[in-house]
Amino acid sequence: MEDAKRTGVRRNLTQPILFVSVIVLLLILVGLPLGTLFYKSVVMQGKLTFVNYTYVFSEQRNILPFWNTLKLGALTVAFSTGIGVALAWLVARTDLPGRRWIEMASLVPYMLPPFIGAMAWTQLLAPRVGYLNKLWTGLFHTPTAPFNLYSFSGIVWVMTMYTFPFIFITAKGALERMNPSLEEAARIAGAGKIRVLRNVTLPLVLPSIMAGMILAFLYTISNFGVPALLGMRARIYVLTTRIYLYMHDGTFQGIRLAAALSVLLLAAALFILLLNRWVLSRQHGAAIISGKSVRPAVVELGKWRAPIACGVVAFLGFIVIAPLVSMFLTSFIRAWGLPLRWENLTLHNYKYILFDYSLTKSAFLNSSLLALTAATVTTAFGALLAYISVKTKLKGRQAIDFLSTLPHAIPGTVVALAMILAWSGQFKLNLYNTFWIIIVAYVVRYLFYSYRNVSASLVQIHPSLEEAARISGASWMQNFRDVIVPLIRPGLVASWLLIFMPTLRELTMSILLYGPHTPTLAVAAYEMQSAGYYHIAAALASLIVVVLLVLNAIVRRVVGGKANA
Amino acid sequence: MPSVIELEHLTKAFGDVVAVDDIELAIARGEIVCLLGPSGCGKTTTLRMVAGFDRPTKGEIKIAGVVVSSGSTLIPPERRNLGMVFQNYAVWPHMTVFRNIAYPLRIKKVPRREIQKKVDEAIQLTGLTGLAKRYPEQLSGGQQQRVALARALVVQPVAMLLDEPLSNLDAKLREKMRFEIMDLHRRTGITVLYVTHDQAEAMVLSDRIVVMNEGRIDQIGSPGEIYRQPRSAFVADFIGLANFARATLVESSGSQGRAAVAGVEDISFPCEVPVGAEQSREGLLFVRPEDIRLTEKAGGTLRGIVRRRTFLGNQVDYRIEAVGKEWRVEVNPDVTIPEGSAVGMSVQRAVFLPEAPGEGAS
Repeated sequence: MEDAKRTGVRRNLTQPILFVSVIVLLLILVGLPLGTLFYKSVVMQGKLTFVNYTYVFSEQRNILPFWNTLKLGALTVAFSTGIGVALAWLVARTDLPGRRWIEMASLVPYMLPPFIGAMAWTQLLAPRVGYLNKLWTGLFHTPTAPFNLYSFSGIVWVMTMYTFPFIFITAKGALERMNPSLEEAARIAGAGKIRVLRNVTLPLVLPSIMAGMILAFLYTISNFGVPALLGMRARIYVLTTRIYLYMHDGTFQGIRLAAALSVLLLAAALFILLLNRWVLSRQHGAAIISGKSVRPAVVELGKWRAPIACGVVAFLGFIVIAPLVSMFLTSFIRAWGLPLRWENLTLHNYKYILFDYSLTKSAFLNSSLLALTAATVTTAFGALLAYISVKTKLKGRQAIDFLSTLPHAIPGTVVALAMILAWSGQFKLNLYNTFWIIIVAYVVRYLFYSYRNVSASLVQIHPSLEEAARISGASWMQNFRDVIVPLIRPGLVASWLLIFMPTLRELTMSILLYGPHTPTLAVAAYEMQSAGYYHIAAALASLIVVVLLVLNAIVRRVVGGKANA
Repeated sequence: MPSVIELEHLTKAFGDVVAVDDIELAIARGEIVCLLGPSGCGKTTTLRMVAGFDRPTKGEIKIAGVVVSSGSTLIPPERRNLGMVFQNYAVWPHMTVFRNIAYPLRIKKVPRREIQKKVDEAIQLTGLTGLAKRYPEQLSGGQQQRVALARALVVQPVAMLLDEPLSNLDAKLREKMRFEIMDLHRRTGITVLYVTHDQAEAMVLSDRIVVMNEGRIDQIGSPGEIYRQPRSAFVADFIGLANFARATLVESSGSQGRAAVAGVEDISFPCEVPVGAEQSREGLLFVRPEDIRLTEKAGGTLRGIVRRRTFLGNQVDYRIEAVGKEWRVEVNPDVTIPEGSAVGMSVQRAVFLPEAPGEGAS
């Protein structure tokens, strides 16, 4: 027992040391870069100044992207809400045939990055050469193509196609959880189907829809790929693309302006987040909606059933399937713009990106390594943070929660810029143009995924399971290894996959962070698309799509659709 | 006999709330002691301090003569060599029955062959034969409880702690498991500290019962003592059914005395007077429902009217209005006195209790 006393003290230290280092690491990874970003935007040559901001607001080329960003966000959210809510209602609350298929098709865009959507829609709607435009001009013999994807409305269109699933998911969840007796009571009181929908159903699911709208807005204003691929050639800029151009300048002035614009973008994102809090705090309906799952009341569509089904299938076929199929077709064509004929088809594009072209070859290697490393490191790090936050009574747990959740709301462009400013020698450490700066950015950006998934698993572990291990003689580390880790394994696997997938095709941060030796898959696809090698870019994008859809199928298998994506 | 667990001036405060207030207790080797009290009385906190999960605010805990918790020491749970059974079993869902029970042995790096032997013994002892390869989700609540017991016993710990182990089981099973735990205790001779809010459980199992109330120990004694000779109104009220009446102690000598019930001062009842109670004059007269005999007509010392009569199978429960209050009386079902009729009550046995602060006489 004398011996026990001494080792007891030593054992007790491993846990606090581990926890303190994890928290310090979190501060260095998240707090320091964001602080630096803000500092750089307001301090020049050691003096506080707002000259960057006044410059930003005095120049049309800076202020216009700001308004464009807000306009893009608002329009995209408006259209997405219409599509998302309608589809969610049809799937959750009607007897529409093939609801499972409709749901799956609606979720496909959710699995793919919007920049690939932009590439796919280019195949359909590019002026002159897009398949739809060609079809139109061929059919009606018009001199000019009717659709121009390289425009502001083109950006809104593609963004909407990749944002409506956010609303679809939240709205469907709320509609399914709603207690049917609330609506039945309205029917008994004399209200018709439409009236019930308007007076009871919609008001009750509105808070959930609002939450989805806020997510969608954040997602849209943070996006780089779509406005870059579709807008830049038409000289239409949003904040993310304007920041990218400033960073491309490479001048100190450019970097400072980029920092100032980033702070603006960040402010917009945080404003939206606060709005979200406010909406959540006013959710009176939440208590009624949440709870155990009940079978929701099903609305019979009657004679409208068949027409609506046809309409939905045609719509989803057009917006989800057609662009992807066009891109797949293009990936087999010898040169872009050639008609789709047997003699024009080839596998050469795939051979080229897989075996011949050094950029894509190194991109495959880089992205795989980056995604593996980021998924592993982030899952482990997030798991420790979640453990501290859920299972300990450590003071400052709320700070961990805040710092782990915050980067998820910060646009990737801002995160990348903060990383560049902090880790290019500012603190005696220069990671610029290396593999590591991309890793660090990925870890920070996706930390929330592992933090939230593991937290959700940890909450379900009753404290007595850990206590039983301790009283059985296990130290804290043994308890963590033998009891906690096996019990949260589904959460760990889910979080690993949910980080692996987006990092495998990440564009927004990578485009700012990649160096001569560290191109990623998305960067390679983006660069080839921008340079006009559409058919080769299509091959690369098609491969990415296939890999992502397969991985998503695996995730569904593994976690039974319960992961928090 | 040497004490296995000793608590000295043990105190635990959560902020301003004192959950455990300066308690003293020594548990002898092989003894089975119950901490009994309503929820929030500090019994579970006491157990968790013994286990090492909570750090005492003040005081000392010794296990097998070694200080494990004090102002300067806190030996972690894994170094205390205890076994523990939790309210929700805490059987690890990702391990088979065998692996659950073997875990404490594996931590102690016991050789594989010996693990097999000891786990087999524990499985047999707890009646889990044939279930070694099952996972907890394939077991009933009672079987999971046995796994928890086997896991707590397998290393032959210094003492076993049980935290309301039967409260998640249904009534039939609970009664069965009580006897099984008793049996297990008899066969292993292990020292047991047991927490429960169920007085029947404490009665059946304990060598001694420690009745706790608001963080303090109200009384320590054998089940018989606790039931027959409660030292406070709280203990009398918490254990079993009790009738209380305001009373004045009119005379006392040693442990016997006479008390007069308020409202019928002309009659005094013979009663027991616990040590210390003779100091006070005003107090409560405490009578168990089974210690009252009923006579039809106007026999007995107190007169009343039958307000309600409830048939309970093995006995009949009467509610009788007398001297301005309701009395509960339990008699065997042969006696039938209709509701509304006058009745005489004769008190066979009564205890005079000094008025404790916050007494809940009714």
